[in-house]
Amino acid sequence: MKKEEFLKQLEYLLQDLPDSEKEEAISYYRDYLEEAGPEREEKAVEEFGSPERVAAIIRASASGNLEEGGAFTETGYRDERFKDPNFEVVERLDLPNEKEAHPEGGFGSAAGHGGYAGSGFKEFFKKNRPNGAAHEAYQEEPYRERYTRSRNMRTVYTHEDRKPWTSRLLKLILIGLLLIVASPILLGGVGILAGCAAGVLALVFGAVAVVLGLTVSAILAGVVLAVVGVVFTVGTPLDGLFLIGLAGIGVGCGLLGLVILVALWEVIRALLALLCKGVKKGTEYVRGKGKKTE
Amino acid sequence: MVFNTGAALLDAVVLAAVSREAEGTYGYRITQEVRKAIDISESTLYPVLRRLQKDNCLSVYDLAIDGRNRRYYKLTETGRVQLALYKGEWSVYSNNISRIFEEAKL
Repeated sequence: MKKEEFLKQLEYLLQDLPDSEKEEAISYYRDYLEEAGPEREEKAVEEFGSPERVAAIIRASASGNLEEGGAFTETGYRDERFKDPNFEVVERLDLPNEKEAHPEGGFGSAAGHGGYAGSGFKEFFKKNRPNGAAHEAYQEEPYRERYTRSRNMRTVYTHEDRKPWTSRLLKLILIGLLLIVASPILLGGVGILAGCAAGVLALVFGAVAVVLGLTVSAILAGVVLAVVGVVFTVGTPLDGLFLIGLAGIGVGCGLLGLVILVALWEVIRALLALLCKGVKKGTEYVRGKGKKTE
Repeated sequence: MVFNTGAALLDAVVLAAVSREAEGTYGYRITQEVRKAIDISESTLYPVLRRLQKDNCLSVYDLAIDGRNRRYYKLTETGRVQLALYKGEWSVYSNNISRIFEEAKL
């Protein structure tokens, strides 16, 4: 591209700037090319890049936000905003965490076509990009581009301050998992308690059964002996009286057994009541804790 | 070059390049001087020069040469102070870095 052509295009691209800004910029570049001389002129224009790129540089300095996006890299000054249109910005690999933290966030779309084209850059080129949206990921210098934009990109990324995601269902699932994981301990404790209770109950019930059996047999024996004694008194009155006496002892034992049974019943009732109370309190405690954690 | 040049360092290099000419110097020559030290594109000094001008580190005046105006950039007093500051900072910084590398065991 020749000098005059370049300057004409530059002037066209800057026509909305204030005249003083525009003229100063254009005279700088005209000066520059004239100093370069006829033989270097074309090479210098080539190195400027496209008029669009130079216009973007001038615009940024005019609006005073040059510092925002640029950086000086091993190949010189680089700024995504000043790249030629149709050159897509390449993904930055040095910001992996932010990207992973917002997988469904507003940047997913940018990642879709391979670029963290910062919003500033995109908006900037909306104005002066000649052929609209059709710019595929043209990766001219992928590695260099990764290290260019720094501060601006970071602020763009911190814009999205999301609340930590939470849900009731998740909490319930987590509590369930916790219970399962902790079950050996929980079940162990509960098991010991249940075992003790069952042991005590079994002991009591066993005692009841023994006493009941003894009582029933004693009474039955007493009755039988009484009947046999009455029969014997007809033939041998002394034997009969002896048997009746034995029957009396048997019945007495049976009555004693009944008294013990009644006492045991009271003990069982007391124990059951205690157990019920314990279970009730236990469940209440667990529920109370659950409420607290929610 | 694998090391990046920060904006402050470029400012410092530009100020140093301008300071070499007591009467000031012009865009093309500044660019060529700076390009001896760091590889920058020919188009990119314009915003830097403008910013330094806005910050009162550089003053400008136009001189008629061969029937056209040539814009000269000259260091101001503020620019001189700024350059001295950059020089001091750079000396400390580069000494520290150099020492680390000299002590490095390969």
